[in-house]
Amino acid sequence: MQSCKNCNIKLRTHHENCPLCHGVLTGEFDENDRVFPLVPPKKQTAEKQFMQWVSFGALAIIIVCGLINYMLFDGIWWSAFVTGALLCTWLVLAVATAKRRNLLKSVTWQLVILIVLAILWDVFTGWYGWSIDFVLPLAILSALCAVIVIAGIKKMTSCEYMTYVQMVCMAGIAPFVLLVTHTVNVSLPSAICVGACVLTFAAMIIFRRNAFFAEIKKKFHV
Amino acid sequence: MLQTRKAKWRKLENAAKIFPATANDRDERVFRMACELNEDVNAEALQQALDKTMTSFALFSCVMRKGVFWYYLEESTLRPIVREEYRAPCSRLYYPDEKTLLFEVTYYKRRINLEVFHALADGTGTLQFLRTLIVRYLTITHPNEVEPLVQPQLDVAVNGEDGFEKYYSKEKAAEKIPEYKAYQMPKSNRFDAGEMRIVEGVAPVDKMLAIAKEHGATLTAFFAAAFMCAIADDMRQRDKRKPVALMIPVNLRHFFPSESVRNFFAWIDMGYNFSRQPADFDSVVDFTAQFFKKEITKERMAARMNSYIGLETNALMRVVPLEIKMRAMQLGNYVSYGNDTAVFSNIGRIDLPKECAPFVKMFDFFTATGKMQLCVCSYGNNLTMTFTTVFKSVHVFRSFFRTLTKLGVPVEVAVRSEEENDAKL
Repeated sequence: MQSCKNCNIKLRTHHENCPLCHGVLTGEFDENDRVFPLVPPKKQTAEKQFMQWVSFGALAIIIVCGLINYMLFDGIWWSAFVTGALLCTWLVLAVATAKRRNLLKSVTWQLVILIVLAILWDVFTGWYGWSIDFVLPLAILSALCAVIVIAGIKKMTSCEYMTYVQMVCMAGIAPFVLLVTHTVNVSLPSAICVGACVLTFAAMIIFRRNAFFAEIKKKFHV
Repeated sequence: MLQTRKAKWRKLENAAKIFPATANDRDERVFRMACELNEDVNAEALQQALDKTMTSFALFSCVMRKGVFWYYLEESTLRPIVREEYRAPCSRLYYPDEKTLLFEVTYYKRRINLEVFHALADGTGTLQFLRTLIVRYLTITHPNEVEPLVQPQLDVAVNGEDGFEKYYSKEKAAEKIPEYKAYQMPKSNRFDAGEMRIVEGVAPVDKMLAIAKEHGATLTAFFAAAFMCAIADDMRQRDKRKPVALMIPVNLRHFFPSESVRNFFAWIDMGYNFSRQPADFDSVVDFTAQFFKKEITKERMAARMNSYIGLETNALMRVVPLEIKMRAMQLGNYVSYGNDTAVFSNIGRIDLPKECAPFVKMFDFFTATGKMQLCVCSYGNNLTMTFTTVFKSVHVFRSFFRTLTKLGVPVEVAVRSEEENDAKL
């Protein structure tokens, strides 16, 4: 065991100098006395590194396109579209990375982001209504399928999937409102989506009644 | 087909609510309790002991989940796996969205380490778990010497009881709780986020008790005074206008009987102004001894407990969505940062059945911190004082241990820091 005469202490860990006063140590360290193992240093996670590269790459493309657009200007600011597209991609990837630990939560988030972004694109490119005619109902339908398939494959229990099934079904209210107010031009996708949501919702109440209500009680406890 | 499972879940109790919202790389909110045996740990036996222990502590199988208004704990079927220590002590255990266990059992040479995310249980609760684990382990490795544990507190309902809810009363006594704008150690001198230094000192209990008695104080009061003086020793004269304040968690089970393993503690803030009050060690010991006598009483602790819970039971507060509550709690945590200089926590004497004594050398207890924390515990004649700190300076520990050695206490010290770990690899 090493010791420091200056501090009048004995040391259980191995040091070149006294960790308290930097003075000279006497005695030998015995490997068997080691209290804390040497562990590999903390590393940055791969996900964090991935997002750093995505951010940098997106920014680089935006700047390069902006410069080219500016130098060879022919009356169209096409780099604005590139910027918009890259920002959307970045957002989708960022959320996917942030929520990677819970797949169903990730799906639900992606659903919201996709719908909001689609509507924004539609609005800023002269409102043709494709975002609510097609993207909205088809996104909800795909999310519903994704949640059920993932829950089935990963053998999730009701406490893991029920909330997300409920949330996605509730999203079906949006196409329903748009349908009855005749806001949509093409009604078939919305109709199918609403039907699927109602059916799934009903199935959950009928077949998974206890889990259905237990989950609501749990998630909304105040 | 989609599976169903009736999941048992429980609300987070009052003191636990802050932890998931404020756990980050600067303060992981994880603490470690370790037991050092007199022989190397047998991993297989430890795993067996852990499996058995889990059957009596359903709470420890819980994972953290988010609701719309509050976090909650949900029992899982995950099985904890014992492994050799593989990362820095008190590393992160809780990641939002990840359904992993909120504790970990590791071992290294003669040590069994139990690390717990603070939202799950407090020191006393964790100690119940560790004690059960150690005794079970020893009954496996030394079946002839150690008797299997007869455990009275196996009742799951009692085990997971919320002490705050049980003892909260709305009547508010007009108690004035002292508050401070405390001195802060310079932030410029910190380790990187996620790194800290651990300084563990071991001294004989009998010697320490005798010295505390000479000073007319309990061990807790004595250590609090020594800690405050050590901090003051490193302060510049102009900083001394501000008081040195210690946050001291107090186990509420002492005043309000509860067998719960969940969080059930309150804290007191104790400040001492070294520019206005006498700065010699004996005066500080007198002050802390008096302060503890006055503040750590059932009435004063009840007043503190009720003030925390008053906020939580406020109807308006309750219906605020969790995401907003989280930000509010983070802000509150940030604002109250200035209330104390450091944290001092004494969980006292740890008891094991007598026949375990030949196999167990000592216990160790320390926690991740955003500042500096001193944790004290004792077993047999070994008293462990462990500092954890995010500040690079070692001045405080040097003063602290020199105070002890000057009084004739032999001290053995172990130091770990990320810098030294990485340098030796």
